[in-house]
Amino acid sequence: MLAILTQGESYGYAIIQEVKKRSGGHLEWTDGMLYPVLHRLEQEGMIRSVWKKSDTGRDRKYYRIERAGRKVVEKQKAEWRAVNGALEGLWEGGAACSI
Amino acid sequence: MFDLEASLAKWREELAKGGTLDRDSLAELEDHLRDAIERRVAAGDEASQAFEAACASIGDAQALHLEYAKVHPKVPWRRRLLNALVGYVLVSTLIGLVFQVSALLEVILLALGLGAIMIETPWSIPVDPNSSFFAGLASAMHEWHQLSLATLFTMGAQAVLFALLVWTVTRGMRGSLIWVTKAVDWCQTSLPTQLAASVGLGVAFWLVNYGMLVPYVLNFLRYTSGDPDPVAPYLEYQLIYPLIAWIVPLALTWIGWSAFRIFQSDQRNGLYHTHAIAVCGFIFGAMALQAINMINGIGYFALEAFWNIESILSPPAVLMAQVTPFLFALVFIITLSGVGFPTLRRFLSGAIKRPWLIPACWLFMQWASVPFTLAFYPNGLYLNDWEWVNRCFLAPLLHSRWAPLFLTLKGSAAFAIVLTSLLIALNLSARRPASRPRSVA
Repeated sequence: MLAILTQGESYGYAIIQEVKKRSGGHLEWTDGMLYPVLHRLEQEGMIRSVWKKSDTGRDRKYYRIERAGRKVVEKQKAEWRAVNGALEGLWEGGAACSI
Repeated sequence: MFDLEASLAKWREELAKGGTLDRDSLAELEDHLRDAIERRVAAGDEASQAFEAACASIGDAQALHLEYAKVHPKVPWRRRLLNALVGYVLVSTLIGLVFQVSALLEVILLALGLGAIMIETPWSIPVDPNSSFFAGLASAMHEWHQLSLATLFTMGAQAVLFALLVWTVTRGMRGSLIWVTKAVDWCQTSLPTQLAASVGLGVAFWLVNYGMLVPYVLNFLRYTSGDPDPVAPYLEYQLIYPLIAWIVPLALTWIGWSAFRIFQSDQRNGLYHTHAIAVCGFIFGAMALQAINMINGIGYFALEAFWNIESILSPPAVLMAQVTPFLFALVFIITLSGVGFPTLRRFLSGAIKRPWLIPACWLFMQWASVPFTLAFYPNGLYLNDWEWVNRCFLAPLLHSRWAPLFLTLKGSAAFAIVLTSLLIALNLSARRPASRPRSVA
């Protein structure tokens, strides 16, 4: 979710659609569960929300990533790349993996 | 004929029944539902089918309530009351300890020759306010003497109470105070017993913090009736302090224990975080304390006006001193309740993880208030006969324009010492591994 918000501000429904699209349908969850996660991220200062009028004329809550959130995304990206690189190296090198 | 608006209203009403979702959360979910319905209708679904499918994809109410409760916990009012009382004890004890630590710092400063008290010592050693080292030492001895047995009792009681509360909240006292556990169990058996216990504790807290007003008022009456010996009230202090300072802590232990059990239970249920509650209670308690102080301040002025005596403080300064912390507390309440000030809420969440931030901010606030204080005391502070009965100031500094600055620094240092201890204790407890399972729920 944080990675999606680095592309610009968005709202709950659009974030879920984006997650489904980007993961090729591999990542799916009950839609309503997204919001408590967003609220927790907001409480932790990683994102900020604001109510605005949407194109449909309805009030809609938009989320925007904060500096702390960007830092977390960068850190997690680096960690995942490191893990991914290590595993690729192991598997391509033919090492046995009993896990 | 399917009525989408009526169905949405009914869905929202049903979801609101759980009490976990606030108006914002409901509006956000409804917006999500409308988006999902519009998308399905655009793809060719009937409105009723689209509504059913969208409701299913958003999740069932029970699961939603469970997830939202983890982020936006609802605290029953009885727990709020209990938290407020715990906060009140912590704040009262903290402030009491600050005064005592401040008095000790004063003694140390005097012993270092950084000033002298303006009154004569009981050993008839002349004290020159523009003092030498020996005069400072004599002042320190006198100041220590002035702390008196009663003050030492109070200091000891406050230290014991403070340690008990920190110990109770952070580690618990399982097994060591069975009778307390039984008392807590009894008090929590029903609403009347819990209310009775809360009211009883409220009275006890008042006695600890304001019971001293009784001899103070007696002294005031004696003073205004021409009694030449203003030190006499120490006798009343010595009688009352041991009573209220050593008996009440045992009662107060109950509330710490009770709160600890509630925290544990809530943590087990994943409802909310112990530290958030501790901070909440702390702030609720601070607000209660400030509200009482404000009422006291107004009463104080009424008394002064009635007896037509000279005040050492100007009304605007005292009103500012009383109202400002109250407004600060109000801001904190609004922040923690989630109604406003999200930046401050984020700061508080961060401060729990970085305990040095709060005393640092408090120090900053104190320093920032110095220009106001100097504006109210352009010629420096001065003492009247009342003041030196209770406190001894450092005369040379007191009569300079830097007096407010110095007193602020000294008070801040004392506050920082005490509060940092508390926060470090809480922080350390948060890093402890989970305690072993308890047989008593």
